[in-house]
Amino acid sequence: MLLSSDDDGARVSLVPEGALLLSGDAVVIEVVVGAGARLELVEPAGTVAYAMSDGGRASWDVTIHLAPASSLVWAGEPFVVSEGARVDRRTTVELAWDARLALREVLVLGRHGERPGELCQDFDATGPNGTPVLAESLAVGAAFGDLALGGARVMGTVTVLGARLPATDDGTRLDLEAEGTVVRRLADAAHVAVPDRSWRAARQLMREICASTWNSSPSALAR
Amino acid sequence: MTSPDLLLMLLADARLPTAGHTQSAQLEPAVASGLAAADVPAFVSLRLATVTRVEAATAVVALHHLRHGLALDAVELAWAARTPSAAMRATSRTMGRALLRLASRLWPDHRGIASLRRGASRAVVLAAAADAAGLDAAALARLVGYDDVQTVGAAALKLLPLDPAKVAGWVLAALPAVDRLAADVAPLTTPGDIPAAGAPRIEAWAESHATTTRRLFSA
Repeated sequence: MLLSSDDDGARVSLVPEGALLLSGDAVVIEVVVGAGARLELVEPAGTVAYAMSDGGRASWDVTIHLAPASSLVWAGEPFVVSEGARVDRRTTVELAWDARLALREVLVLGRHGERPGELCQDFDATGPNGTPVLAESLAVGAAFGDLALGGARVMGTVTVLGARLPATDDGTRLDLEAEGTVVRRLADAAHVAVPDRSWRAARQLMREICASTWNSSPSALAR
Repeated sequence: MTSPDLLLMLLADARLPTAGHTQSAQLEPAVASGLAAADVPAFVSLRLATVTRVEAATAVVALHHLRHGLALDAVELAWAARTPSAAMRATSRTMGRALLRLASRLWPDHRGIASLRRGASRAVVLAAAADAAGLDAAALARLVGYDDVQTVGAAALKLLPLDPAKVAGWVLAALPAVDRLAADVAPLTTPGDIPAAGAPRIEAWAESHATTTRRLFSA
């Protein structure tokens, strides 16, 4: 659903048919941002994956193509993997020259008082000519022990690719070899797991970059 | 001709001048944030499933590249993309430098070792040493896994009130997992196939340790 748009960008709200994942569901989201365009995605609510008592799994695949000098700001809401749920979540990002991404993710393993569900998550970002930027596979939940997240139930992550985030102090800062920064917090509740200051800094950074590179009409619109 | 067994023992020996004693494999910050002695075996398992898996696979793919005359740049890029923590990359390169200094003295005529760039990761330097020593991919992967387990074990004895024989028992118990890891990664040949298993808590420990002044181990 288009919330607003102007000459150089658009703000779009993702409205799923139902903000829930059940056994056998396979959600596929493809985001393409054209050259020089700027897209902001917002989610009206989080997503909950429910217990999959039939032994099945659900999948959530996101592919993001960012054309030259384009940008995407995606403010993800909590993604909850309830006790007994099994979810494969895959995010693939292709960044062309001067493309930039700011992504907020909040993973919640189990609703309040529950054991964690099982989540296998792959993040794979590549830059121009397919050079690897960030590749990370996480397997978390009951089947994998809880030490990977230090026993935390919630992981908040701000990922900035194509630019480096200014200094922040609200989480573990991972400065990538390629241009990019990941800031992460592990906690027991969603509202404390999100590195809010880093997210604000990321959005501010994207606005500044867009303002400084706004020199021609964008050749394509986000869809 | 020296047997591969002896050469593998040589490369796995902590008495080599490669600064292994400066490393706790993130056990020191883990203990500082509350990891108990009883959690050490789980910590070892987590490493073998994640960061050590990445390092072993990187070494194996680098060995393949060295033996087939392929450039190592893509291997280094793949490793760096799978190692999001700048502190962990810096540690690997510091260890790589120490190992490279030794390897170029031990095998001064080896082309693979001579061709390495400054800033090569430890996994890639280890692959060059393994190439010079004539080790196969599985032996190299076992070397990476074994060294990691022993690094944690030796650090545990300095950080926690533990019986050395008990820690040796933990190392013994971890060896089947090292073998499984080696069997999994030994066939890999291309950088894109290197597993990307991350461990956010280990990365957080590595980053926090890099900025503390109160420490026994450099990493």
